[in-house]
Amino acid sequence: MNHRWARRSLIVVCVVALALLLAPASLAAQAKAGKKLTIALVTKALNNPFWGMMKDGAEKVAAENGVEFIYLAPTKANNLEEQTRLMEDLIQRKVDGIVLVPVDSDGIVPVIKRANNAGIPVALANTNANGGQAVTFSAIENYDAMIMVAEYMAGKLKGQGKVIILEGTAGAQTTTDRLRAINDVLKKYPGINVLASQTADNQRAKGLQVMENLAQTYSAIDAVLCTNDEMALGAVEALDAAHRLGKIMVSGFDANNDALKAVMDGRMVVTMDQNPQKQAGDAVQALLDYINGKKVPKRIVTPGVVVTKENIALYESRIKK
Amino acid sequence: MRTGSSDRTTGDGRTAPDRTRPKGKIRSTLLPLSRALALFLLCLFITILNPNFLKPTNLINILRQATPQIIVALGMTIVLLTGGIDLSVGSTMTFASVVAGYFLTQVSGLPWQAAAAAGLAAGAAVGLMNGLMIAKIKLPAPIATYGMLWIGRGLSFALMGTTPFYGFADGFRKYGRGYWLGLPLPIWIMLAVAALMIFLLTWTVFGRRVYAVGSNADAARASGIRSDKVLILVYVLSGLMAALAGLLLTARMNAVDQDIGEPYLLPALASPVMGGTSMSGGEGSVGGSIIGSLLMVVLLNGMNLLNISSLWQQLALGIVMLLAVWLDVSLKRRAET
Repeated sequence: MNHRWARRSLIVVCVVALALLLAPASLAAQAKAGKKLTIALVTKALNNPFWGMMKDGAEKVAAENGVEFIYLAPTKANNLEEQTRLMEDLIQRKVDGIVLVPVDSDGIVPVIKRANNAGIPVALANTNANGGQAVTFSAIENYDAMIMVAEYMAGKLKGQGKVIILEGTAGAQTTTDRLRAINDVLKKYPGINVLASQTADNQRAKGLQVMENLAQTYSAIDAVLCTNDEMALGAVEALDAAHRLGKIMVSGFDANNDALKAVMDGRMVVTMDQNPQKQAGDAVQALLDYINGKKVPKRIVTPGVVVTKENIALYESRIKK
Repeated sequence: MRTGSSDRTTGDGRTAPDRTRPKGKIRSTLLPLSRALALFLLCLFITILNPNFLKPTNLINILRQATPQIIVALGMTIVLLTGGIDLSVGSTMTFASVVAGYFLTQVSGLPWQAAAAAGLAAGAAVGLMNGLMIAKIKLPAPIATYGMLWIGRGLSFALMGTTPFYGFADGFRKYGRGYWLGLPLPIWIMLAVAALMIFLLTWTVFGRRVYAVGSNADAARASGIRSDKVLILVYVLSGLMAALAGLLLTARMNAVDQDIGEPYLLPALASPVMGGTSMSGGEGSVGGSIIGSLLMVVLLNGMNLLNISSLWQQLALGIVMLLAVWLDVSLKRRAET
């Protein structure tokens, strides 16, 4: 009787000990091999093709690593409140990591902190945030890239002329950096005179409308510098309809497909290829490296390329017809 | 002379109620004038600050920019007259444009007229769905049309994804940027739509029924009006007008993106209300909605001309809208007492 009890208790003790020993190992193994990791990408909007390119890049890297991929963006373009909600949903779902493109560099900070508290690593891509903990920030240097575009335009203007600036969404870090770059370059050329600097919210329809209105006041315009391609393409349509496109140079930023076509057709002078596929892809890779315990650089700089008529041939495959 | 049955309408499309109104004449002439006066004052104010505002090219520019908003707002007006509301107009604009853009760029060998017709048909189909849900299944109009808002968006994304369709046939683009007799084609189309609406609402049996259903649905039913038929037709019209507005904007931009229609929903709702259309039905006019739309577009144009920063632009827009409605409401109350 006593003997049987002792044997039984010995078995129980052994099983418990074995379980205690194996549990952490098996959990770790499950995390490594059994359960697929899930990575989410959250961008600023669904409508701008630029975010579509980022999604493609992120999706590719996720697929290469055999990782589950979720893509989310506010249904109302550049809406902070909705982006915050999307982030909260992802925190609730306990995804393994989030690549985030903040709509607003300040406004997004609280929800990044909430993700930090929940132990979910966040990598920022394209647009930086002014607080919270991020694994890395993968982006072009917006300021430096716009300096290149603005210098190119100043060169085309030969340091002389009247220009209009179309600004992006107020408060976004990309807008702030690009606008600062344009203004810093133009300051060096006293012959260049800024007629007006107005926002068109990064949208094509707004770019069209604001340009139509400004074209009424200013009979002499030499160039229009825009902080993204969508506004630039709207401005191109407005100027074309007024038969003034031939005399006015338009610059964009992003190298969207139809902006590339506009550069090829001579309707736009220059745009900036900031390689969104690589920006998002690098952020996903950094996030995975971080989860696997590797060291990740705090800043990954994506090289930008000035796209003009001279090198547009490199982009032929992305231009239809 | 000013008394009569509830479905009689005055010249500006406003109903004359059953009771005798000694001051009715003052009211019916003063109110539309007060709205025109508000628009005039706004124009005067901008002109003083920047004389470029009054250039004929700028006035034409304003009318052209206002065209899509006016057309959607007129569709909304007729819906509001029945006591309903159509929250799907913005998404219908996008959906119809995406359908037209799809046939213009993704299907080869199709004439642009067919693509445009497909876009208009898509708008009418959305309207028909709205009408059936509201008149037959008896869903509340805000919910039925809000549901359609999401369905329209979903279908647009399914058809186009995030990469815009762009680069359309010249025949189609002409309707966005072409001219006829010195005026842009979209303005002619808008004027034709407005004339048609005035005719429909003032001179046809259908028009009188629209007002009747909106002022007193039970009385209308008792007098033999098939209100479900009227309602279905009204939402089809609204969908069709939203589609037309979307196509004109698409032709102008030479591209469709997913964001083309959505920003028009609230302006399309605000313009009729600023123009004196009652949100509870039975009262409102075509002219009022046009003036309501112009107030908003003129203000935005003026702020661009005056180089006002975007933050202040939103504030100014809000204040002017509230002032316009306040003026309207207070004059209406004074005329009635």
